Parts: sequence; C-alpha cells; structure tokens
Amino acid sequence: CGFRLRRSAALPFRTLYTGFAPTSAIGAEFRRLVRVAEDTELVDDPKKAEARLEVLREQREREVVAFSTTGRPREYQLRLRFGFRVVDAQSRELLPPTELVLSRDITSTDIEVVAKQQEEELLFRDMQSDLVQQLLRRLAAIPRP
Amino acid sequence: LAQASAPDAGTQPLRLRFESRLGERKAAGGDALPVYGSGERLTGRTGRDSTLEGEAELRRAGTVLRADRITYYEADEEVFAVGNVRVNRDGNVFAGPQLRLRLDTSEGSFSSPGYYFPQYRGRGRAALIEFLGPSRTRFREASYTTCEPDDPDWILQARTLELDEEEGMGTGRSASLSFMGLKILALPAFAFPLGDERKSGFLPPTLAINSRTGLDVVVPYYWNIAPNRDFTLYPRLSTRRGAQFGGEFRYLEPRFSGQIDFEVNPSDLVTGESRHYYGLQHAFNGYAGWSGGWLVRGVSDDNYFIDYSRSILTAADRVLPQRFYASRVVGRDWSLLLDVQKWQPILDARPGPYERVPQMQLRQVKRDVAGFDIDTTLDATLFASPTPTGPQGWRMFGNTQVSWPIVRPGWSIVPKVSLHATAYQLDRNAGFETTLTRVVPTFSVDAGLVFERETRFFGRDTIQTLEPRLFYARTPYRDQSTFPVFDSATTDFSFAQLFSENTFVGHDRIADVNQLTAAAVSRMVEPSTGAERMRFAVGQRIYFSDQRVTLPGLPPVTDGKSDILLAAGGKFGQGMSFDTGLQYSLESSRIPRFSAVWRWLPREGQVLNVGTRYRREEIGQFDTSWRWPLSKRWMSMGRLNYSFLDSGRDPVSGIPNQRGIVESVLGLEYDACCWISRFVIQRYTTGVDTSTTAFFFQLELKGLGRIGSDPFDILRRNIPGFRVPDVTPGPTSRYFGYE
Repeated sequence: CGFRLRRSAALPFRTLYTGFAPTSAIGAEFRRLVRVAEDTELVDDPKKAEARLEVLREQREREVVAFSTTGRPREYQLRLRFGFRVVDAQSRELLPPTELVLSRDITSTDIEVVAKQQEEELLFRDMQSDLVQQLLRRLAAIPRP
Repeated sequence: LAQASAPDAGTQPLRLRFESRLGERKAAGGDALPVYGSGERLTGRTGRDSTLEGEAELRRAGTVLRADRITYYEADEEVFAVGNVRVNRDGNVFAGPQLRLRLDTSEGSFSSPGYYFPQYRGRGRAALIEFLGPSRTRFREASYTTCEPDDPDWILQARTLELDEEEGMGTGRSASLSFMGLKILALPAFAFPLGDERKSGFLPPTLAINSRTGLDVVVPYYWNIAPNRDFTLYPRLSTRRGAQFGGEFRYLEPRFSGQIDFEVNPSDLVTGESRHYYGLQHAFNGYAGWSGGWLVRGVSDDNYFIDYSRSILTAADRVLPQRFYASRVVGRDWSLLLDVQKWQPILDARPGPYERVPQMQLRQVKRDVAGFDIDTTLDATLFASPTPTGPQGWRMFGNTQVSWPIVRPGWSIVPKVSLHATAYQLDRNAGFETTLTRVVPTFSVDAGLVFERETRFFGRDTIQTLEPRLFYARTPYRDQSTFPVFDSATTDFSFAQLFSENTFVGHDRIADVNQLTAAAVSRMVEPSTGAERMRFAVGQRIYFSDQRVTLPGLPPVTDGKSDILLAAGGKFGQGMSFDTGLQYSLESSRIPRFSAVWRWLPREGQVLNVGTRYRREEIGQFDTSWRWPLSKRWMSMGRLNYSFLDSGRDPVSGIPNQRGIVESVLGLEYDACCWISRFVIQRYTTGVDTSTTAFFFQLELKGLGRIGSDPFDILRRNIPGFRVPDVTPGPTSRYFGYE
C-alpha cells in the first residue's frame, strides 16, 4: 500500500569529513555504509570537505533500572549517547548540535557479571548499527545549499 | 574603536584602529593610560593637581568615579574624593562619603562605604575598605549578603574580609553567620571561593540522620594541589559508628590519569573492629605502544556497604572488581590484550564469578578485503575457580568469522561463516576430562529489505518505513555436556539476540541451531529533519530442530517456535515519550516479560516518569519518579519503587520474593531568592527485612555555598531524565556593569 523500496538517502554533500575518534565503532560502521551506499566521498582532510560531521559526544552509559525485592540490581539499561553537528567548509552550521540516545535493557545478577559483559557488547553493537541508520537519515534531511 | 595601545602611542602618531574585542581588563594595569574627567567647575595647578566640583566624574579604563568633589594629584596619580562618592571598578560598585585611591596601582581606602558585587549578587557595608591592588580588596567590620538589603534573611559579618578576585578567593577573620536573625555559625577564620572555581579550603559540611550511622556530620576539606591534581579529605563523625576518614585523590597527566579513594574507620563503635573501603582507578596510554590500566575496589567486610551506604546503589554492590589490563597493537592490524580479572564477592554473591588469571587475547578485524569482512580472535585464559573444588584450568579458543556484506540503500544481505575451535586443559578437573577439545562451524545469512512510503501520522507529514528482516543460522550439534562452564550464561531474549547465532554468551557453549528469525521494524520519520518519531517492532524465531546444547540446570529448547517479541516506542509532542516491550508465549498464552515506561518533560527541570517492569518470577515492579514544582517557591522531587512480585525466588540468594517498597525518596526544596533549603527523606531495602532510612538537610545561602549534604547526587539516579540545573554563571558580558 504505497510502499516502495528505499532509494539512496543521497547525502546533500559531495565530500564529507567525519570527526570520529580513530577507534570509534560507530565511525567504522558509518564510513562503511557511506562508502557502499552513498555517492558522497569521505575525505581525510577537513579542509577539502564540503561538510564536516563533528562528533561532540560518544558515550556509553549503564544504569540500574530494577532491583530485586531484597535490593539487588536485577535489570540495567544500557544507553548509547551520540552528540554531533554538521558544518560546512566555512564552519557555518548546517545542522545544530543534535543528540541521539538509544537504549536497551539487560537483566543481570551479581554472579553473571563476566558473561553479561559480553552480552552488553552485543547490545551496544546492535545500538551502534541502529544509530548509524538514524544518523544517515538526519544527514540526508539537511537541505541542499 | 579603541585607542592604540601605549607602546604604539609612544613611537607613532596617535591614531585610532578597529578593535574587534572590547575587553574591560585589556587596558587595566598598564601605565600611561589616559584619565578623563568632567564636572561643573575645574580648578587646579598645572602639572600638580586638579579639582573637579559639582557632579564630578573621573574615568580611567575599568574604573568610573563620581563624587561631589574630586581632587586628582598628577604626580602619583592619586585621587581624593568627598561627598556621595561612588566607584565602579569592573562592575563592582562602592559608595560612601570619602575615598582615597591611587589610579596607577589601584591602592587606596574608602571610609564607611556600602558595596554591591553584581557578579555574585552580593552586597554589604563596611567600616573601611582598603584597595590593595587591581583585584584585591580588604573590608573591615564588614557585612555581606545576597539578600535584598533591608532586613536580609541571612547576613555574614566579619572583623576583616579579604577578597582576591585574581585568586577567586575570599578569606575572613572573626566571622559570624546569622540566619533569620539567629546566629548559626561563628568562625575565628574562614575561607570561601568566589564563584565556582577550584580552591583549597573547607567545603560546606554535610548533615544527615541515618538509621545505620545515626547523626552524621562530614566536614570535607578540599586541597587544590595543582591544576591537574587535587585531594579531598572527608573527616566524618557519626554517633553510632564513630570517627571515619575518607579521601579522594585525583590526578591527570598527559599519559595517565586516575583516582584513589579510601574510607577508614579505625574502630567502628558497633562492631568494635576496623573497617575500610578502597578504590583505585588508573588508565595509561602510550608507554612503548602499550595502553591499559587497573580498577581495584575492596572492602574490609561483607556489611561495609550496607552500614555506610548513602543510597541503594552503593548498598547494592556485591562483586568488587580487581582488574589489571594492558593492550597494544602488534604487527599491522592485530591487537593484543593482557587481562587479569579477580573479584571480591560479598554476602549473597558468593562464591562469585570465575577469575581470569590471566587472559591473553589476540584480535584482528579486517574490513572490506575484496568485499569480505574477516574477524579473528585467539584467546588463552587461565580460569581460577571461586570454590575450592570447582574445575579450573586453561581454556583456549580460536574463532574466525568471514562475512560478505552486500549493503544497498533498499536491501542488504550478509552471508557469514565462522569456525570456533576450543581446547580445555584443566589442572583441577573435578570430575571433568582433563583435556577437552571441540570444533564447531556456523553458517548464517542475514537479509533485510527497507520499504518507504509517504503518509500522514497524527496530522503530520511522515515517512513510514517497513523493514522486514530474515535471519537463518545453522550450527551442528556437538556434545558439550562434559565441558565446564567458566564465563557463559544464557542471553536475554531480545531483538539483538534474535539476530545472533549463539543463544549463549561466553565461549563454553556453542548452541546447536537450525533456526530462522523473522522480524519487522516500522519507523515513523519526520521528513524535514530525518528524526525518528515512532517505532514498532515484532519478531519471532522458528526452530527447525530441538536445541540440545544446554547450560547445567537449564532445560533444552524443544518448542517449534519461540515467544513473540513486540516493541513500541516514540515521542509525542509536549516532551512526552514512551517505550514498551513485551514477550508473549503462544504456547502458554502467557506474558513472561514486559516493560512500559512513559516520560514527560514539559520544560527544563520538570519531569515525570511512570513505568512498570515485569519478568516472570524474577522482577515485578512499579516505578515512578518526578521533579515537579508545587508553587512558585516549593519544588518536590522523589521516587517510589514498589515490587508487586510475591512468587518465585531471587536467582542468586534463593530468598523468596516479597511484596513491598524497594526504594522511596521524597525531596522538598524551598527557594527564597537568596537562600534555598532542601530536605530529603529516603528509605531503601538493603536485604531481607532490612532497610536504611536517611534524612538529609541542606541549606544553601546563595553566593556563599551550601551547608549540609548535597542531596542532588542521590536524586540524580533517582529521577531519570532529570539534570541538575547548571548553576555556573555564564561568561560576563563585555559591557557587564558598564556605566
């Protein structure tokens, strides 16, 4: 009913510089997706880029959201917080500082810490790919100059 | 426009140039600055002195002086003013009958003036003010308040008071503090920071009444050792536990940083024993290519956190880590990790998790090698059992995953093969074979489509997506019932888990699977911004064969189909958002797990959360928290967490679940313009039929710091979505206090 296959998001810049930390997993996934699915070229020199994606924050959080009746933590919320903005070559803001926050819940007991560390990693990876999708949609919505 | 600076003026003809920044302090301190004067009459002797009378005014960079009569002595740039004298120095205003001031050194004195510091909104009177330089001022017989001048609610009086704006520091002698006409504090000497800068000195004391510690007073001392190092000492006196010393040392260097915390009570009045806590945290980077650190925490005894905690979070600590780790890049793209991980388990968390002594891991992540992604992990870990009889020894595994991702905007398909080879060499086999090996291959395909359509949703233009996804995984069965379990557990049934090949985490069990996951996500995206407004998801897994690999004590999966997972979340207007998840069992028509959270942030500093979480036999609670204004001056905040579960047992301790309040916090805040008082009452469960009740009080005299503990750090956890209001004053305007 009106659905059609998604076409390229078509980022509104020909060249883009991304300011992710070298070890950022979000950055690796973002670059891969842009490389294979977009016409935009990623450049290493910020001066040569039509637009720059500035990473303001990339942070993992973990908070207890449920306790057992005896006051033991039983459920945690994992959050991935990503703040960014986009400026053009003249440092004019194309997209003001924006924050994307994703979360997943995970149950854990005190003695499962080691095993659950690995499950947390799995959930963070899941959030990372979701976040990259959302980030691409935000960038694609920037009006062309 | 500004005048050219003095050196230019000497060598070149005076001219005006464009000045992009007007800094009040830019010109201050320099010599040969011009002085401007005006008045109704001017008399004087050339080169010696001049006197302005009637509406007299004198200006020099940063300083404006007005009086009935001003005499200016040119030789030493001294000013003598009488009658309705008013001085504005960088926005700070002083007014009184008589002033003597040297303009070049900013030294002088002012008799019986009143003063106003707009930056701190502080005002007062003094018998005498001595200006000791551009930023130092000494007050004699002074008073100070941030309240309205007539009948102030609080007032600080001191024999001498010295403000050093350069150092951001105030010091005083023979001081007394009155609140509502009542003298509440008398100090022979004191120091306080101006603004929020880090300065050595006593911090506002903490006052609490706690059911575990009794009346509890902490008077912290902050030592600002260097810009990158500080130390806070927390002497603590409580009626039930006696004297305790705590400390926090923080350091920050280019290549390493960390923190050392400790708390020692040499003799607990209740137990008669010495009790302590310590925490060490350190991270380093760039030592011959190595980076790493450590995280070590420990307590003297099982009940330390229960007896000394301030909130349910610290009371809930059960497994304290002792971890040392280091990693580096080896060769071109391998990373090597060395890790030692031990634990101090306390109370019901005993015997605790397995220890890694040590773990050695090599990893390589290769992306886009002719379109392939290759991940390789080689790991050798010596596990030490937390019990004296449990199996322990080496476990080695190698895992290679090769995937070929084909990703297009509208679809993607990712085939993947992996091989997992494991060997155990046990030095205490506890009934297991001493040597065990296993090789397990896995194949999976992950395929997804993304459809879009333009539609209207709640009257707004929306792009709706529909993203169906299929995931097939196949791993053959290998009998692993004779293998020990060191670091493995079952994962939660979640969307992330639906798309992973192994239903276990850890490397002791590789699940035999022949299964297909079908899931779909639909998002509502705002076309103008690309922001996701709403999302719905559904997923289920079909098992083509029964899963036979299990963890000890858990039954094998024999259902043909998994439970159905449903999730919905999104944002409405007016700051409202919701997040719900539900697991539904077709077989039993039951709901083993659900959660629903609704949040409303109507404006900054105002939030309401309502939520419930349920997991059959394990968690069942209703949770609400808020920060809500009751009137112009009263604000309420709090949290109530009620557990409605009365069946099942705690999985760790085996204690039966009981209905009851797990945690309740109520806070009230009264804001009376120049002071704020906060009351927090808190009660939280620390075990079976045991709980802690605590009452905190804080009085904040605005512009002077807080008396009492800071209940905000408790409330921060307690009210999700709530952020402490930013009290740091913004940068002062260029024209701040300009006259």
